[in-house]
Amino acid sequence: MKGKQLYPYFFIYPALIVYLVLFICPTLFSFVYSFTDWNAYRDTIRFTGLDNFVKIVSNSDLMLSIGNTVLFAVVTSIGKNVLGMLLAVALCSRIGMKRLFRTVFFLPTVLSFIVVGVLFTALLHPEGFLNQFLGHVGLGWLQQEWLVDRNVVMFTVSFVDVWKGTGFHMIIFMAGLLAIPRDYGEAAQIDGANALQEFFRIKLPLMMQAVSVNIVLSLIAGFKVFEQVFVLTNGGPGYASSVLNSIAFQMFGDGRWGLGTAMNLVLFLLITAISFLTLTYFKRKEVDI
Amino acid sequence: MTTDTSSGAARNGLARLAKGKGKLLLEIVLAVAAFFYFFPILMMILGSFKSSMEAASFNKLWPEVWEFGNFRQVLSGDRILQALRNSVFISFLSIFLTIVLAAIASFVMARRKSGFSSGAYFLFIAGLVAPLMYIPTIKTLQFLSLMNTLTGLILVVVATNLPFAVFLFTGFIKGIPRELDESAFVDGFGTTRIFLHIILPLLTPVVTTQAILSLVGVWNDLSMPLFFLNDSSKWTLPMLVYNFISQYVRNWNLVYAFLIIVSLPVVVLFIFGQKHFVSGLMSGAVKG
Repeated sequence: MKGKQLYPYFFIYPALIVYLVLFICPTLFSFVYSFTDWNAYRDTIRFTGLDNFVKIVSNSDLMLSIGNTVLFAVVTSIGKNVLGMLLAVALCSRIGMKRLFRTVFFLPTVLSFIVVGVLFTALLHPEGFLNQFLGHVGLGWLQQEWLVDRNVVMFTVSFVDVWKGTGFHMIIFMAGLLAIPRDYGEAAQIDGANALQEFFRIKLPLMMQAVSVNIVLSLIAGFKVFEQVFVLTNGGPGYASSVLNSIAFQMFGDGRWGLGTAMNLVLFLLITAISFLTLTYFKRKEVDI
Repeated sequence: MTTDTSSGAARNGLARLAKGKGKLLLEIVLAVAAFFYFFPILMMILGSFKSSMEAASFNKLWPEVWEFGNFRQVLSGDRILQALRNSVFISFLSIFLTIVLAAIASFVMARRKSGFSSGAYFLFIAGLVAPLMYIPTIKTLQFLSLMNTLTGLILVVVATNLPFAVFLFTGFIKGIPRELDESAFVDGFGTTRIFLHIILPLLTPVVTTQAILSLVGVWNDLSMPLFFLNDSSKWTLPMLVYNFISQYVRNWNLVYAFLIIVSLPVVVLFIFGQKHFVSGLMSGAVKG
């Protein structure tokens, strides 16, 4: 057969081998190690059944980190997509200085989390610019210890991530908006639709693909949260802002590898379930232009 | 369009006036939002030109005395050049390997409709979603004696970058007509020559996209060096910043200067390659 001669499998092998050994195998191992007491202090590994998962469920700090992960994923997804959509609509209308605005809103996306973390540690310092600004404009009652107060810290970390990530989602929404033929909107205007009706009845349904990509990508990225927390609070105070990956990192440092892997597996299952659900939900809503 | 032209014209004129005012209002709102959005970066830029004393108090944005020596002082640090070398080495090698491995694999996966070919493709696509299992990966690297080596780190980076690259390249190659390969085959070209002379030149736009996107990702990455490198001589720039802060916590001016040095290569790339960046994001994301 010509296929065999022309397209040999050994072109796939190098990529497949690297990927199998360093991504697929560790993923498969995690299914085994999650059910063991694997740790730094003993040479033998014993199967302990569901022990690790019982430990997770009965430990309030570990459960808090799972709740924080879900909260972060949901809050940042809403924030990035709502803001990103507003900016995309604004930047697709006939205004001046579009390029400058687009650059400013996208710029944080290309910064490292370490840079973002340091900048916001300074800004959100109790005597930092944010609290000073609030004091000056008469909103002193809003002043907080942004990264120290247990009730606020998770929202602060989410806010910083929204600042960094909105530009990315804005660009994808802009692509969706620009792909809609102009005469659709004009036809709606002639029929007497106002701007809001035009957006919700015409534009939004036609850009469902961009919406679904954005929501899936922001949820997946949100569940994988680690660096955001690591650079801003390192999970603190206490466990108030810890998330699944930061616990896995801490467990690794403590030599509790079985439990750490079990936490990572919980993350894996959460992400797989969420992306499967959102993808099938949006598949039904997409419209071809 | 309208039968009553005079009232129609009046209505149009009013609508245009309202639109003009709305446009100005929107521009003002966007300008204010952009200023607040840019504020953290502005604070970093201005802070990097302050003296240590001035930078220590958080209440003034504008430097009173411009101090240009901060950058020189940071760059003369003993470990920064080493870290810069590591960052450049890791970024370039891992991007090069990702692109080469993904391009040749995608070429065959896009063309062959066998069970093995589509099975391999499915496996790669699953990696777009699945998170990296850090602890078992560390153990795998230890087993291969690659833990705490730049080679090991680069291979993990390649493995995690392959899914998106394969997704991007396979989609693109499927759009290149098969007849091109077949006519070249009839002319006596082998697979390697077909790939190098016919497919590869056509791949330029997706290769550029992939290179820019993964450069930003790899250059900025903190978690992989954190998990897979514990020897500080192998650290990358972002890791060194982390270490630098604990040392120079009272010298915010130097910290800001360091942050600018870390960000500059990617920001410059972004500003000059903005067109590729944006079009790449759009094609990659919306086609998916």
